Amino acid sequence: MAGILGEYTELFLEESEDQIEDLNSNLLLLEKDHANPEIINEIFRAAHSLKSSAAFVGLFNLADLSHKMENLLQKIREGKLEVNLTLVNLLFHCFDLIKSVISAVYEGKKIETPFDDMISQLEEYEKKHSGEKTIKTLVSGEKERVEQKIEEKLTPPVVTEVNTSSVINKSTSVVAIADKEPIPQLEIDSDDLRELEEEISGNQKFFDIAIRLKEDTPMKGLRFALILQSVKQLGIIYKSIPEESELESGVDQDWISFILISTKSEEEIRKRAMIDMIDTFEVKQKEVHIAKESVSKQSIREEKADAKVMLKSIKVSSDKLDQLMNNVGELVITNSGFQKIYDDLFATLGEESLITELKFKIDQINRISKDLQTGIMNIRMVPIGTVFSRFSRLVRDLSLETKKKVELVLKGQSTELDKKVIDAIGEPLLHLIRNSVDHGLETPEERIKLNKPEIGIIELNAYQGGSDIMVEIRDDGRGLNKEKILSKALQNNLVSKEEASLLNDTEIYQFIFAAGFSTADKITDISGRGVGMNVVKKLVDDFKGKILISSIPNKGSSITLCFPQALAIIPSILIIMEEEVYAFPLTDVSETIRIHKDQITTLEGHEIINLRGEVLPIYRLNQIIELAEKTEHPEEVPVVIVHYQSRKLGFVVDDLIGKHETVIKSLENNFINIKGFTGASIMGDGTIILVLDIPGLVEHYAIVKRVNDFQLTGEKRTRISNIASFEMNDIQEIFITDNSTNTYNLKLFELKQKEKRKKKKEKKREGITESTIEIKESSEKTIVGQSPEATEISKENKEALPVIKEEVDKVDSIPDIIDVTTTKLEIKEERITSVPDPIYKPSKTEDLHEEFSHHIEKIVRIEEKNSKEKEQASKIIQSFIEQKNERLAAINSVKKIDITLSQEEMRKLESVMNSGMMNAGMVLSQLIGKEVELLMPEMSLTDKGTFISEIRHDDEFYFGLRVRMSGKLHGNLLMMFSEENGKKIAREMLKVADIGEKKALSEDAMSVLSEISNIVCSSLINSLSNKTKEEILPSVPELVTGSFGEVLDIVKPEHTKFLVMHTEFNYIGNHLLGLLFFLPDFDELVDIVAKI
Amino acid sequence: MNNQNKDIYEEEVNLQDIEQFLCFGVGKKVFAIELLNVHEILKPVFITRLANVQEYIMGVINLRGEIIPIVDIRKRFGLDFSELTAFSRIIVVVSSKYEKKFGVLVDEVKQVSKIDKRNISVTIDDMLSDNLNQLVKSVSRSDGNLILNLAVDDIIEFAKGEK
Repeated sequence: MAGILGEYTELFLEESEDQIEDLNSNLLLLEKDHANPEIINEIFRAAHSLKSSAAFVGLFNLADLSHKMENLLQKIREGKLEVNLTLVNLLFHCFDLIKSVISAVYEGKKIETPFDDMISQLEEYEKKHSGEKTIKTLVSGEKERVEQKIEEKLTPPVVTEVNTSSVINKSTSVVAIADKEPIPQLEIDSDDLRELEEEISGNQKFFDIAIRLKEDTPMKGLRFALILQSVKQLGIIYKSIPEESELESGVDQDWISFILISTKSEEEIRKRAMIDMIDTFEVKQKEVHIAKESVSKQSIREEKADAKVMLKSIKVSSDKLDQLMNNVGELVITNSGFQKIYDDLFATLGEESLITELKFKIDQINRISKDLQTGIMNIRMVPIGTVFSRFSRLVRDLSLETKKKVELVLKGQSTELDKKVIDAIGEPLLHLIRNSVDHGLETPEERIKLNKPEIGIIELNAYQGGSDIMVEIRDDGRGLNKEKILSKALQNNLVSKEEASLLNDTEIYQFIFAAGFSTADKITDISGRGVGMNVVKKLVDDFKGKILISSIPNKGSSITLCFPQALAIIPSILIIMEEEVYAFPLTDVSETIRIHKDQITTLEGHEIINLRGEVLPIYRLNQIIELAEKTEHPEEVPVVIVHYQSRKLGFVVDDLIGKHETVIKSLENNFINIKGFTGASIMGDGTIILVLDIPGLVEHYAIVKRVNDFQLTGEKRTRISNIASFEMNDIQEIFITDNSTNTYNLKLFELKQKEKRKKKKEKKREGITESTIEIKESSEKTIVGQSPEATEISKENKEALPVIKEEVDKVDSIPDIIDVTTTKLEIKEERITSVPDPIYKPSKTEDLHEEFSHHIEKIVRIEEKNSKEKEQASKIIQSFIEQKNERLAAINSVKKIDITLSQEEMRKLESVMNSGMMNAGMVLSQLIGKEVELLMPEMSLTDKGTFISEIRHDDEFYFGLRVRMSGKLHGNLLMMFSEENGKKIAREMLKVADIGEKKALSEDAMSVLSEISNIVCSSLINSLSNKTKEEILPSVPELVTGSFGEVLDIVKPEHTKFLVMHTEFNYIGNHLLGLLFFLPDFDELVDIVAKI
Repeated sequence: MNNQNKDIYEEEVNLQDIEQFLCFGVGKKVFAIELLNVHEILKPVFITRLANVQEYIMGVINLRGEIIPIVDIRKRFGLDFSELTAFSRIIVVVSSKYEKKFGVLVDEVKQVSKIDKRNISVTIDDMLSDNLNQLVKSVSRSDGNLILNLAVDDIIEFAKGEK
């Protein structure tokens, strides 16, 4: 993007802006601290680089001006010009000119008119003032000055200083040995100094040592070498003249000069270096040290300058950051896709090491992308100091203009804010400061009268408060004039008289933000037009911030702007309307409540509620976002209370979902801004959520109210959307408005379901073929296994049990398959024969496999041909099931309890139980006046592990109702309902749709289930007790909830076996299933059963 | 051999005179969008409804992190709302004038046609109904059929999208 000045335009702009800032702030410092050479140097440097960069991009007028400025500054640095107000003002004017040129470049204009006026002004000033002073200095040492000047002209400032110090050194040494030819000073350039500095560490010191031998000393070179050798033991010789190597070859001079870095004291060095024939010995620690100090400062400053360059080099356009941010968001979304895959894998394959590893990696990616996200956020954060420092100049100018004495105090400059805010906050702060100086602070005379210090203080402070960044402007002036504001508000018709009396301070202060509002009696250059505060308000609103005002008469006022810390991410409250999820920005929300529909009253066509004595208007969100009125109204509705201007109002929503960190994307990028929406946000699973904009909604509501010509309808439909990121209400049917998009989505859902079903069917078909084969295989095994071998193996190896059991399970389902009609068998056979051989993978060897498939074919053919043989097959399977039962019993007997119930005893027990159940059914029928049948189609004896593995939906939520038994038989009766079934039963019985949240039951529903269990269990126990003539007492049912396993664990059956009974509630044609467990103390049970 | 070379030669010459269009069906009519403006074609996805917009805006979708509006082209033509079928597709197009991306729900995507510029003619005002006239930029003839070429920049009235 080449600007008007060619490809370096941008670079120039960036740099020159910084330089101007530097110049401004340093000049202010100089005004206070006239003599500080460092500040002058800073200014000089900035002006100098400005000159060169301006010349580089072809702004020669600017370069000329900077050059003149430089001349002037140089005079200051040399002490030939005095720093005074006129001079500083003159320089400030120069800076303003430069700034105007720079901003013109920003706008694409190139100003080329030379600043002759300014330059001549500068020249004039220079001539007028420097003239006298120069003469003064010339008297003291003309030669030196001229020399220095030449030096300085030739060398950049950094080196100059170094040279100056060495000049001083030189002069001292001249004094020390006045009568002799002076020892030439070691020349140390800035590179050397930097190196020296690096080498110096801890308490090491610098020594500049000069040694002169007596004129007639023999072997001078050797002596010098000796000195160096011995001194070396004390530290490091950095540099010497002559060099050590030269010494060895012999020299003909009578002096040596070197620099030693050592921790030792001067004395020690003297002692060590002392040899005979020494004429003078000079060790100068201090002087070099001074040089070193100034140098080190210099180099630190240079480092700083380096750092600045570094900072410059990472200036990145925020667009690029946004892009990056977007990509990270995508990463997060993609990763949640992985999470889904993992969930599916886990569900189908269970816990496998590879899958756990996958999970681990997914978590890792999650973490990394979170870090990335925060990292990028941090890049956007910039310290606010850059903005604050700008105002020192402003306050100075303002104080001169208004003749008020003002001191600007800056605090919290390092507080970081989003770059976007930093870029925009300058102007509003400017307005606020102007206001403070112009309206807030009093004149010095007034202040003295009020017993206040003459100098007014304006404090700019930035700090973090909660998740907000606060920028505060405080002055110690007269404070806001409440009465004046109020009367002006009345005058401008911003508020009616009646309302005015009800307003509190905060509400009154809010008026100052209204457009065109000003309490100033006269309009000054600085403020009073009533624009400034409006600008402030607009900016703060743009960034979803808040303004807090506090004021104490005659003590001062403070205005605090609160900005959310990170702009891109805002916390929000998610709500649901029908199936659509919307977000309220949390900054707007004051609270969320639930109100009863009776609490809503209508006043002049507006619905209002009374919230703790406050009357709030409420809006129905569905009307604003084009959703139909619901056909049935719930008793209670959730209402989101929001701030709107200085008032509060409520929005009636369908349901609240929760809090969420929302990344807002503008709708305008690819569309347009829509009234009522700030933008949209993409959830982890890719769904879009629209972020509401309160002022827009309110405005829109007014329009809707007026027009209200379209009639919307809706009806109950199955819920289709499902935002994975949230737990949605369990209700499957919801009210949905008829509109094209909903129709489309519904149709899409149907199409997808159809496709899914199709796929599932295909899969199932494949599955059936396979399982048929497997079943045949296992039945084949059973045939083989009729020899005791197989049974023995399973007895020996308990671990193999689950495998066998699995097979057994499959075999269980065989009767269905065998029972199917011949035609189906034909189809099956066709499929089997049509499947090519390689599909029979399960078998171990090809041969065996072939044998199997032949066998299957044989079986199928036999079945087809001969129904007698079919019967045979079923007999085989029957025998297998019996074997299984025997095996199970055998295995169970290994565990503690070795008593079992015989088939006959079981049957006896079953009949007792069944009669109990029939009783229960009768009682239930009487109770609700409708026919209820309770059946117990199955009863089996099993252990816990087997049972849980048999229940496939292990993770399903269950309601368990436990009835304890006491008396002659101890133990528990446990009735279990899966969540679905339990709720269905309750719904049927109660005839109420709402029977509690997910994983919970309403009280009514709970009592229904508990009553059913009570009746069933009591009847069973009664029946048993009657039959055995023994006393068995039931307790009141207790509710236990959790997954299947969890419920069973809570009931903790010990020393027992599971007598599992599947009960069936046959209720007006509905088959609803519950499970009944009989968990008695087994020993007692055996005794009791014997008595039946 | 000679003939083939001639064909290729002819094609090369013609490249300058050929424009490529993505053809799609809406009802029984065939429409087209300049291929240069087509970003991608999507199978129908879940659309998030937008309130307070023109009727033909069905809502927005998430296109790899970008939020783009979807136009029901039938409704845009002033007809009934589109009915979703197994053949329905969303054509994502780019309006170069507004630098915006959006999706168009169409009944069916047909093919990419190369059409000789000589067979493309600008529409005359009274030729089509008002609604179509606004959107159809030109008409091209291909194999005896008429294809209506849409002006991509005008499909969404970006200037006055709000109700």
